[in-house]
Amino acid sequence: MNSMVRRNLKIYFRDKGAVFFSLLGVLIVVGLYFLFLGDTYTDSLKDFKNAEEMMSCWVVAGLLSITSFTTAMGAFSTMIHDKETKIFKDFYCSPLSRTSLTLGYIISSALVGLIMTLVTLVLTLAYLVYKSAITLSFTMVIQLLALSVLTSFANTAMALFVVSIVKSEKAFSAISGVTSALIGFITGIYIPVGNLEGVQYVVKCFPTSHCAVLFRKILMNDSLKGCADNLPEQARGEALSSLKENLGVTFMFGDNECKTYISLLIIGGTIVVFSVLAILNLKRKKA
Amino acid sequence: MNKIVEVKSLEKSFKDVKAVRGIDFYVEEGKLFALLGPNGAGKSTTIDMICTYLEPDRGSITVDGFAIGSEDNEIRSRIGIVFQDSVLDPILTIEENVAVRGSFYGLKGKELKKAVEKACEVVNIKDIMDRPYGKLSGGQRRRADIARALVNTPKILFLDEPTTGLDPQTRANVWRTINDLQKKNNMTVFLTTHYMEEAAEADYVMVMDKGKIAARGTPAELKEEYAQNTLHITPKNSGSLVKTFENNKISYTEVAGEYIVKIKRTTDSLKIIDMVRDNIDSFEVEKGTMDNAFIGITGKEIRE
Repeated sequence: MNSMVRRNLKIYFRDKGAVFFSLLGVLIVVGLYFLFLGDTYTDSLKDFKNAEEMMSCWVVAGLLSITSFTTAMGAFSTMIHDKETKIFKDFYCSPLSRTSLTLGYIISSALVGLIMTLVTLVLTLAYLVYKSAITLSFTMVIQLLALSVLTSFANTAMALFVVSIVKSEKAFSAISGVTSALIGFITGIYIPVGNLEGVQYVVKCFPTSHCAVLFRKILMNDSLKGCADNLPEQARGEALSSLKENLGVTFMFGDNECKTYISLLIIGGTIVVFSVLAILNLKRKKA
Repeated sequence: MNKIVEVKSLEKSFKDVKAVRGIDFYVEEGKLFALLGPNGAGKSTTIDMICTYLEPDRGSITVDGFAIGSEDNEIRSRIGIVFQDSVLDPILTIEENVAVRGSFYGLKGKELKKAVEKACEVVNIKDIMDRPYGKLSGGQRRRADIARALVNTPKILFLDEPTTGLDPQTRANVWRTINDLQKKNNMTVFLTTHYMEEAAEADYVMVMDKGKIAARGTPAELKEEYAQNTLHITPKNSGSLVKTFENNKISYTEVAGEYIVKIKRTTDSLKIIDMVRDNIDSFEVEKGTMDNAFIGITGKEIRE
């Protein structure tokens, strides 16, 4: 199994084109933000202090939550490719158990998701510190690392579910193209959730959105502090909570705030439920 | 004599298609065994079942004494397979490719490295081991495929149409490698092929057609039994040739001005030539080949 994991990692990272395209969803976010959306959003927050820092943290939080999804999808394409090109036949005729074969793909894809998230984390943290949008603390780093791991696993589980229902390479590349483009919308990364009308609930129910929420809570903590100080004192509380809700730092279901532990439960549940569904699916197909 | 593969009343269907309809045969250890047949004859299905990839519907198979179905892993660790399509990763080097596959057999560290080197040495690609598989020529790729199949030093090597799609020179090269392997290492080789001249070099040939065994024997036996020797005559005057043939009750067929007479032994042609000597513009005696035998057995030319 170890050697399968290593093989899959090598195949993914050596194909520079594939790595680039699996980062496409992320690059779209970065491009959109710097070219168009950044200024617009910052302008709309001109009543608040630190608007620019706040929005930098906001977009980084979004990036970190989707990187592992698109890259894990990219890594899973090896599995689909192996199935379609009969490379599987070679593996099946070797004394390698099918469980460790499948686990090999899952673990390597999860690792790809995690590695790419960590790389993004290092780069973006450097950027945020440089822009003095955050002050790093030990707890913060630990929280970010732990959340990166959870996010990678949840995204890998969802990607695995997609993989388990798709048969052909063509279908798979179409799906990963569409999801890479869409995921920015359904996690409320291109457009803040508050600016969306009817689809708000889609965003709030999508597991990766909760990863984004938690990343925002951690990263925007500094810049949100005292950001409403320019406003009259009695309006501050109101303004801050509606700002948080608009940007998706807190999700409201009706009048109830979605607490951190609930988001964590949703993420954990996603890992379990999607993995189980996917594995059942893969098992069923073998028979 | 040791039966390394033994197949008994083997059957396999895919939905409505009966691919293999009850076949019995065995392969002797250390021999070169060729399985022949037109497309759709059930060759690949048979090989897939012996290699534990497909489950038989009925019948039993043992490989080196282990039964398919209950001792698959024992079998898997004792066989090597060269598939029709390449199954290595183009982006990895030969060495990496063979090493990954070698690790499936429980090989590790130095042991694995040694096994990889040895496998590559046998097929003469040790000096290009660090080249990516995708950048190799057709012949080098086939050799790498064979090296992969040899990494676990299998007792029996399966080759599913190993030379299809290669140019004649490369084909000869690959074929020489296979032959060497079998002779020098006393390895059992089980291959399917489209090429008659390759089957002619096997120790034992089995011909399948429509899921059944159509014929079997050594190449010499098959030629003897199924291949037809023929005499081809292009006459100066076809009218008188036909007359002579009819008078002597010699049956013939005519193809584009050429008269073909089936004869049992090549020397039988002398008698006929004597009869029509003055009327012969040109003639040719054709000795039966594996090609003829194949057509004689299946009633069709082999197709690619």
